[in-house]
Amino acid sequence: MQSEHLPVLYGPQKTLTGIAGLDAITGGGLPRGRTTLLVGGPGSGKTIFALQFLVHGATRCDEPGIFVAFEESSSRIVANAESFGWNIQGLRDGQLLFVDAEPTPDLVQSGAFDLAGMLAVLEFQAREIGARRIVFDAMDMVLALLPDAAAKRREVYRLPVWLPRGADAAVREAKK
Amino acid sequence: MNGAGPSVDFKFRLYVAGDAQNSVQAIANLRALCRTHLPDTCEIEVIDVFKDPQRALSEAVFMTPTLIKYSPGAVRRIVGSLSQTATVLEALGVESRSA
Repeated sequence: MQSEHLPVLYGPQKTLTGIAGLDAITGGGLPRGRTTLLVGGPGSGKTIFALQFLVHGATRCDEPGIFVAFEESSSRIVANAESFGWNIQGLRDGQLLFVDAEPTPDLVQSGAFDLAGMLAVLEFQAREIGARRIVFDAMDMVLALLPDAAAKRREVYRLPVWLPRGADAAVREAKK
Repeated sequence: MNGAGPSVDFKFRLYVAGDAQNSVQAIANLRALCRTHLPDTCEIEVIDVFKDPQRALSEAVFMTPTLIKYSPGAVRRIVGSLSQTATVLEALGVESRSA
């Protein structure tokens, strides 16, 4: 698998996804130290792609990961993923961490807010397990609570600025 | 205001993100609201998520500022700078005293 990568002469270093074809055509996977935005319609495989990236990192690259679930509870996501034979339960001991961050349905909002709290919590957890990969699943669910385009943009920019302090690579997913 | 009166009815915990503008506003707005509508009955604990991320995690606080009301009645969460007093009072189940 490794030998099929196109030589990377310029540009950022890459981090393997474990999807052979994708790693080959991208010259080694997703950009290291950057955030990758994954956009697609419902059911197109964004969550599975992101889990694959984390599982590959945890099992083959010695790169622990964090999965932040904004839409579905992590227990459901793990149950779905177990059908691929990934043994995610076994990885949860220090290699893979799931964070449930779905907004509660009875949430009341009054005035401006941001995601600084989430980043403080994640930075703490990333340090605890030495996380190198992080996935934000269904980021659009939280962005939808923000009042205007400027606030949404500000929170989207917050992630890559924050990332280099902790992790190697991140995947951010949003529906089209 | 912390734990002052003998008849503390409202127990609040306010999670803030350092001195971010909306966090600073939330503290001021909550104190003003307590002064005006719930005098001598509020206990407010302010927690900075940057200093105490473990507590933010244990209460699943991901958006800041977040106000949590523990009593009286059911636990309620309000996210934001608490700038709309009427919305906050309604969520807390408090009759507005302003005429």
